[in-house]
Amino acid sequence: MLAGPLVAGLLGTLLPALGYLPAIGAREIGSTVFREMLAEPGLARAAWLSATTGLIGAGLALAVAMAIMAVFAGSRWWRAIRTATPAFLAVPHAALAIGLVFLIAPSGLLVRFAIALSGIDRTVPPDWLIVNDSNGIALIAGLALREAPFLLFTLIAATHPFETERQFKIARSLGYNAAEVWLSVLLPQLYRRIRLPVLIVIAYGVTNAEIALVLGPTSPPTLTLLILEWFRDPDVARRLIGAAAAAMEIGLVVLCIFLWLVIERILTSWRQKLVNAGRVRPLAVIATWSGRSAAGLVYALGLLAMSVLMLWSVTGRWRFPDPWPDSLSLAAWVRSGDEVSTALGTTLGIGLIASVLALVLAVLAFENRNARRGVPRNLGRKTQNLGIAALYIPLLIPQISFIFGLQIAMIRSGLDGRWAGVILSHLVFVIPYTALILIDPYRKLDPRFARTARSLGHGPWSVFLHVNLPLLARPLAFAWAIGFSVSCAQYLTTLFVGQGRVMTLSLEALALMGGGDRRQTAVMALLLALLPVASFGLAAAIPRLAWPRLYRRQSVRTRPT
Amino acid sequence: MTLVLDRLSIAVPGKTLLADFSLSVPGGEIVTIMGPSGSGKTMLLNYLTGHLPQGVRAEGSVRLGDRRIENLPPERRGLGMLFQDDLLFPHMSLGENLMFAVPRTIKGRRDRRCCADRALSWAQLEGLFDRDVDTLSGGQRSRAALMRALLAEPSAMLLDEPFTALDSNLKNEIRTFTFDHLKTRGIPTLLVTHDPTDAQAAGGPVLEPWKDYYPIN
Amino acid sequence: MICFLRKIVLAAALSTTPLAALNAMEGWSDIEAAARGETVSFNAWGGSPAVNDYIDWVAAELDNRFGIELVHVKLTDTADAVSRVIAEKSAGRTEGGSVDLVWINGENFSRMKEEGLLFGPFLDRLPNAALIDVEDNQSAVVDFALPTEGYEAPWGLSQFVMAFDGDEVETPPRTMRALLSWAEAHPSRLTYPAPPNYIGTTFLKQILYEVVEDDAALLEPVDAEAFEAVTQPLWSWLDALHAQLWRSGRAFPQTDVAQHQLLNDGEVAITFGFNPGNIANMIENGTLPENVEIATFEAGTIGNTHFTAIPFNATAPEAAMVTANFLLSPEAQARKEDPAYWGDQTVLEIDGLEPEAQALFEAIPQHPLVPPPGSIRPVLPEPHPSWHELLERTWLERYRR
Repeated sequence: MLAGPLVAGLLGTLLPALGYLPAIGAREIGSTVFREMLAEPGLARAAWLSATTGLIGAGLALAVAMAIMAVFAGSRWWRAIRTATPAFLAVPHAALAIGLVFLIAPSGLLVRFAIALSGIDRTVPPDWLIVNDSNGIALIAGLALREAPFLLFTLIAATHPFETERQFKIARSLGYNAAEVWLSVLLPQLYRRIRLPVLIVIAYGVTNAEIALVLGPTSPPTLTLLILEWFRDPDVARRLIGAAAAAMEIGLVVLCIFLWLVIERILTSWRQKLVNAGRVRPLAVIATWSGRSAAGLVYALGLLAMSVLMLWSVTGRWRFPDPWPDSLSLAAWVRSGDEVSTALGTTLGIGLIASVLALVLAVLAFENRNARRGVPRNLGRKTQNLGIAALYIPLLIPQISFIFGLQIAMIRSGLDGRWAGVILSHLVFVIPYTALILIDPYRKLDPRFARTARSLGHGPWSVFLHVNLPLLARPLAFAWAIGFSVSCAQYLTTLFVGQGRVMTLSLEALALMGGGDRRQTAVMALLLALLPVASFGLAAAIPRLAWPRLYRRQSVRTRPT
Repeated sequence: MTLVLDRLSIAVPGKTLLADFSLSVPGGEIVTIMGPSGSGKTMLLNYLTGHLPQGVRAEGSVRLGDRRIENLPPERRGLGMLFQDDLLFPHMSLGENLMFAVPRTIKGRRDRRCCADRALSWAQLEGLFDRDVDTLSGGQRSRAALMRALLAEPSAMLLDEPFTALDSNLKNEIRTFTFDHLKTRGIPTLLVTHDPTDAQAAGGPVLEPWKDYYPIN
Repeated sequence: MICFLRKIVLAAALSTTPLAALNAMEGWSDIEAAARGETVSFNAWGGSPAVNDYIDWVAAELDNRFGIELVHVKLTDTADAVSRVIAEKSAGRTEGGSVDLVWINGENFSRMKEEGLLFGPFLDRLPNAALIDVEDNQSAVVDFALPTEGYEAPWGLSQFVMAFDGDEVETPPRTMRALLSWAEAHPSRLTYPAPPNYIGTTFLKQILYEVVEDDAALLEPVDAEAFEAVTQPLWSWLDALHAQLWRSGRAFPQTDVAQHQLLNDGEVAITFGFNPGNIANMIENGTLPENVEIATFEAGTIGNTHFTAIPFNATAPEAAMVTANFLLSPEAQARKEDPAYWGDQTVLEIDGLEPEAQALFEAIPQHPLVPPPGSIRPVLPEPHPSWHELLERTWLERYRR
């Protein structure tokens, strides 16, 4: 079912890249378009920026997530960190990035506070290139800030509490402190389990538009933004160049992933050498310090960014260098209320259907796979892995190039402008994320529970309902919440496949955010975060309410002191 | 009732795990199959219970009384199962774990609860119905696991190294407890293990189908 | 010079837009009847709450008067609507398309027209087309030097203006020479949106009008050979300016709204935009501070008209025409010109209107910052679209590497 939209989307990218787009009279297949693309100003620099910011941002996010885990797992802060982390995932990328700009820009809140506190008489913000700097440092910071909680979340999800606790105790008894144990024993094992999410983060970092648009360099911008520009150029022939660049971007992502695998190998062997030489302590000291400061920084910046968004949403007028708005007003909220009320219902309906459908499909697939587990390492693996890899293609290429083909397929099948079409196209993005969250929990799930239940006379459905569902309630609930959030965030898919007849919140929000009125932008960013945050709240509550015996306790008890 | 395995062959690509293996286990008897780890014991049990992984080829018939069961879905084979770990469901109380195994034919909460309570008393676990399973001791858990398996009224039992994880004092106690219950009920039992003392305690025939492949053992 | 050019352009425009009034009027009641009960999907930029509110008002009026349901599909970029029509054409959907009416001008229009993606010509079938001021504003019928030939209906008139912080800038620099020396005296207090942003590219053209020797050439298709020599003064002027810009020219705002936000944050003192009324509206609603003032360039400012057009496969072309006609009515145009609602200049010839209609325009409260309509003169025409492309490309090559 997914293969259709996927193939259509890819063809819609690749054919124009080769010069074939009959709607604008382009029918000659060849490499001309590629040659034209290579001559575009700033292309090489844009590709370089995409690759470096994506790789460094993802690497930084991973380092921060690991350091936080190593330092805080089991400490008295751990509960708070575990609770706060999913909330971060619910905040839309664009909202966080915008909040960050309100905070760290030369005219942002931090500088305003600094001026107010120091008493310097200054009415003009300093001319510092903090955001949109030409090397993408702000973009890297934004990526790390957004993705570190995501990777921390997957790390936590991949932790097997009892196994971890046992290994932790053994390693401590061998004379290592907590951070050393995490670095030398536990994290290397966990890393293997979260490798796929890491690769997804790299792909997202290289191809993302939302964060790059707000924080990234401008002359030139990253490759995705160039592609976006070409796809939106009134000169429709530029779409061909955009498509060629999108095809090139797929290559760039593959290259970056390859590079990452090389780096990963080097780092792993270097770390193991340190461990073998008994020199893991300095690394642990660094991790401890950077973990503490990174955790503080990530959560403080995130919280401040969201707070400053809230403040702007109720601002009337707010001039530099005032540290507090000159006047407060609910006008932006009131006006938005009218605009979005129907969109809220549509978003909720589509999000629920898409996320539940994705969850059901993913569960069916994993249950089926699990029933046949224990495969000797050869048969069927490769084709299976290829199938899974194909599932993630939509996450690896810029949406705008992919969506054009998808849209044509939807129009041909008469599904455009209908809920069914929008839901189907959302599934292309919702399913991979849902599956991503479930892979590891299903791998960790002891199949003997289900087998025991079968031997007690229960059929597959009953076993799922009474055994696997409760045992996997937490990851299933979070997979649903992530799927729901992904559906809520879909902008281009909804616009193109919904043909403007299916109006969701993100359509309303992004249109108004494009207007650049900060108060309106803040309101919309917060509204956009509303449904996902609610879904994560539900996801956290449901397992605890439904199976209190299993979920009222906290599980990881690996206290590092 | 007798459990009969007739000319069983199991192979993974490039390796034969079992060839032309036949066996008959009459009611009340415990037959022990011995073999080192990795020899194919687990694969044999997987075949019997209907959980054979993809890519493994197997043939041969399995009969329980006059029923052919090798093509039935796992829950209709009537084969009880005990593993090395007790695998009590952590999200259910002890009593709920037992009630989960009470056959469908017994309806109504009260009747099912009654079955569970009876099983609790056999296992000397009276009054612990509402306990969280992870607050129980190792011995309590093992006895509960056996009771849960028996409540489902299996026609035959398969034991997959069920005593390996227990310490030696407990091992004797649980082994005796388990074998007594199985023999009293006349259930044909197949015990798979690599521990010779298990085989001794079972008191039935001992087979070593992999002896030729692993002569050192 | 400019006067002479206007005559030529005007003559060309009029010849291609015959307002065949009588014939059209006969058909109009049929069109209105066919439109009743239809839904119009109006694809228009949705970034401005003021504009959205205005369109909401239009929707209510259309429902009352003509039984038409107007749905505003809020776009972040007009190109998204163009993409959708292209996709529909690719998929062979020649009727029942998803776009009935689109807010458009310039390049997007010229592309849609070239690719045969537009319905029409329909302008001469709209009764209110007769009210349009073609004489003083040839951009109503010549969109970026491309005759509209009735494939789009004028909606509003925009003129390039400068907004500045009145406390910091005492005398606004109203020539390019003055702008450069102001920037040199006030480093890092000025920037402009990076082309291909619309305002950014218009800024380049505005400079070009002042620095080229022969501005008549701008209305002709560009001579690629001569381009470098002709535009040399523009690039040397920009090279000098960039060193003085905000962030030393190493970063640019990507949109005009982002640029206005910089003015509100005090990061720059001068920004560029379209329409004094629109700037006034932003001051009124708090997007820009109260001490902002408006100025225009002495040599004239580039003006262009924005339009509504109907795609070739629109589901309800009749209802779309009734909508386009209503948007041209004196009532809708007067409300649009009022800075309290939007602040966009009308495309109607006010002197030619009925007295009641004229009264609607006279009733608009005069905003202290907004010069009276028609007073910002001369209006410079948009250069030929081929200039647009080469200017953007050259800018990108020079400043994006």
